[in-house]
Amino acid sequence: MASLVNADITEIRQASAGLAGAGFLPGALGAALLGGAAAIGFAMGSWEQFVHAYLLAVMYVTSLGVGGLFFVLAHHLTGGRWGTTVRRLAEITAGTLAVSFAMYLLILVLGVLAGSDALYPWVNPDMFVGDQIMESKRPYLDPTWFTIRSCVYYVIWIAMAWTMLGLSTRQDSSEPTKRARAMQWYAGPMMPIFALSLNFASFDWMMTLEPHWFSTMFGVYFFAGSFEGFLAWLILLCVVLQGRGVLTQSVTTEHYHDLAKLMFAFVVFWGYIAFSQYMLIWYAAIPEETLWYDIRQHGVWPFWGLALAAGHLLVPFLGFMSKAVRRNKQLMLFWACWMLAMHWIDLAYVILPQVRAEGSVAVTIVLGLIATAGALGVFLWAWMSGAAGKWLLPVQDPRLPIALSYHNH
Amino acid sequence: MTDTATTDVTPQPKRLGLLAQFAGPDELIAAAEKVTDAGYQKVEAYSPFAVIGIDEALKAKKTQLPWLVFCMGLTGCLVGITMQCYMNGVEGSWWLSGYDYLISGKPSFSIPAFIPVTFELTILLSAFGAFFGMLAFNQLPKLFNPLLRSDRFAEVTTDGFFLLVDAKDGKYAEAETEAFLTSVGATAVETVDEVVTGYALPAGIHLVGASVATAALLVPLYLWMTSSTTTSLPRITLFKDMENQAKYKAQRPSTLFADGRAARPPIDGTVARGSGKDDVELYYGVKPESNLVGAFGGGDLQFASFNGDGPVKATLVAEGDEADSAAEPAEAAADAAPAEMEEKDWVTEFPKSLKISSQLMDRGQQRFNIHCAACHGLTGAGDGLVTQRALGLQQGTWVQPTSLHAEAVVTQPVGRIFNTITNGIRKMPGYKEHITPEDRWAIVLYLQALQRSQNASADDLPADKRRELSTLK
Repeated sequence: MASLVNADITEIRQASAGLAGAGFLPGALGAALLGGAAAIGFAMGSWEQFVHAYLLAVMYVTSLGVGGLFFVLAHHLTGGRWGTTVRRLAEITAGTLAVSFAMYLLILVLGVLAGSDALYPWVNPDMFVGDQIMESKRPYLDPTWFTIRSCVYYVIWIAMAWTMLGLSTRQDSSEPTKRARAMQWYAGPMMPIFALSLNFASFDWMMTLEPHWFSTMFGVYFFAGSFEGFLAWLILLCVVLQGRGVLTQSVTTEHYHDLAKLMFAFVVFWGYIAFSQYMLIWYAAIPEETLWYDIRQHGVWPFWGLALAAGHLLVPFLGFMSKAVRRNKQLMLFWACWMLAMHWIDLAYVILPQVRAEGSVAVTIVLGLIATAGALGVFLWAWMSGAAGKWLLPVQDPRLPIALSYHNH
Repeated sequence: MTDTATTDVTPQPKRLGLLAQFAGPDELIAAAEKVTDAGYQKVEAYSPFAVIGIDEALKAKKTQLPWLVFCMGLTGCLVGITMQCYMNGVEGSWWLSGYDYLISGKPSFSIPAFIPVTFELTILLSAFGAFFGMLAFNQLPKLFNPLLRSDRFAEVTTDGFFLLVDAKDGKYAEAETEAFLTSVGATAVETVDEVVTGYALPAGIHLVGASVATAALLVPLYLWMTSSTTTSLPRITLFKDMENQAKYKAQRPSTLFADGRAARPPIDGTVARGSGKDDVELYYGVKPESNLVGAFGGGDLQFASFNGDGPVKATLVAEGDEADSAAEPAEAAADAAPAEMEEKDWVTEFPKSLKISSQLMDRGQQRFNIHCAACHGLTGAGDGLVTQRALGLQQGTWVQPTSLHAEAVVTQPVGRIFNTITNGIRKMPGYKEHITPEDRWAIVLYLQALQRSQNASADDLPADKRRELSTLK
């Protein structure tokens, strides 16, 4: 097959500087939706439902960012080549974590530090009284300490994402080999820091919604879903961009095939982790562990959980198991959208059942949908302004020729 | 076969096809494309490494291996789930029935518990399908390939690139095909023949072979026979392992010691393990004045000694727990003893060395619920979970424990109950290995409370409580 390395370039490889302006529309629309959801929540007396929905929305866009960061780190760490063509897209996605941080700051300032226990019940000091388990967690679940930790997680990730993005964009103009080595060198120490911070972040942000409960697997569970969600986002992004003439030559069927394979692997990995967490707790049947699933055995949530098992594992497992499907761009666009929806269902299963206030579950879910749509609008603006004026391909990277002429066997 | 040519039957080799060599991978792909475009279908390529694009150039059929793997995986999944459902969920009186066993209080059909095994079996069978299926589709293992006889073909392991056009191909015509291969860039073309077969072996060889094969079976068969039959002769073993050890057996002479004996008598002052249980009330539940005390321990026995210091005294252990060969006679006596015991020999009061307290009662309750309640039931009525399960299975070998509130049990002296816990009775095993003497007494104490609870009347209550009771509606 002909190599693309020396072919004439007909694709668009550089984003226009005006992209940031174009991103203003989805950004403003997203902010309006978030504000609207808050207004609905406030007006209907469903404030607690809204804050859970808001956390869901922030976690959703955060997970896409950390997925992107992991992709970049893993790619450098393993000396990967095939992914060089989509690396810049992942780097820009990781860069959006700064905006996710800004959105999470609202929770920290208006919720945790202001002493509102609408989201995290442990903000209320009464929760600890006469409760042995809670008493032992008191020093950890301190609002100030929690705020510091949360900021540290985001700052670490943003620093890593910007370091990688900075090195990568400087690579476009000078000393490409030296920069490639530097990125590879940084990826090593960054990876364990990333793993630890992501674990504790998911413990803090989502596991403490039920402060009695604990699961050592929870961090891996969140990671598996996040990376799978990011891969779906990357496939979607590639298809959309190619529809506008961007990277039409560089991102080939081979790259879609690889992204689909990786996404498939993480669909299975997510299922493995989710089931392992469930089975260990189910088998041991210890009250302080089962309570989390007990909440999800009532109301709409058991059906939600079954839909998750089917839609997040079984259906896509059979759905894009075949090589023919994975190499078909249109079909993979469908499965990418499917997995993005399932990733939302997954995070909603983790967060929304923790609403303690009385009221209709439908309100919570609708608020969650509106808030997530809003956060995605803001995320889109963050992505577009992050991409504005940049090369969308690490054009000088020494591994690019191999990535362009790469073939699956 | 003609009668004249018995040794001259050299069969004519069949033509396998034409082997063409090419300069490099690009030339190979280009040639493969042209050859298949020209209508040849049975074409195979050989190269030192995997050449990208060769499958398309050869217009090779898509492999069916993924379907095989998928079907094998599905089989593993279904076999796993069905096997577990049958084994754990379907029980009956037929042969090879499942066994409905309660595990951790989970239901007989519980999908979460079945998933790990199902998952493993799916993976296992998929892997088998992929690995063995790949071998089978590639017709491997192949012990010999006729191409290996071509000298030029040896280069395929370093830098040779080859195409083989099969002679069975419909379009195959040797001269034209050879010219065509040269025209598409072959650097060399040669014909390759099938391996010649059909030489007959001399008839005698078969006989010799059969004899050798049969003889080779004799030794393993003989070993197999000796290992599964009884005989008074020493066993025949190939590997002696631990049968012959450098050690003395009992009653054998030794030149090492002055008295000539290999077995050494215990040195003076040796205290046997388990001895020193002088408090017979506490350890055996019998009165010290009982004339059967010696049978339970504390008694001395003499045995012969030849070390010149006169007879050696050794305290024997009546309990079976530290039995060695010398203690066997006394143990036999202990086994026989309870049957001969007079009722008056059992202590009727708790041993004096035991401090009766509410802590002891609590301890007794805890121990009872741990060790006894599984069969006897928490109330001692003989309806524990094990008993219920055993009776439910109707196996016929289970003896239901006597109710501890039966008249015959209630009237027993505490020493006898203690002895029953210690040494067991009927089907009940002795618990002396599991429960310390103090704890056994604690259980006896709790048992008394249990028995009392089932034989109490309102008159046993204190006066004020009785009044309270009478005002209840």
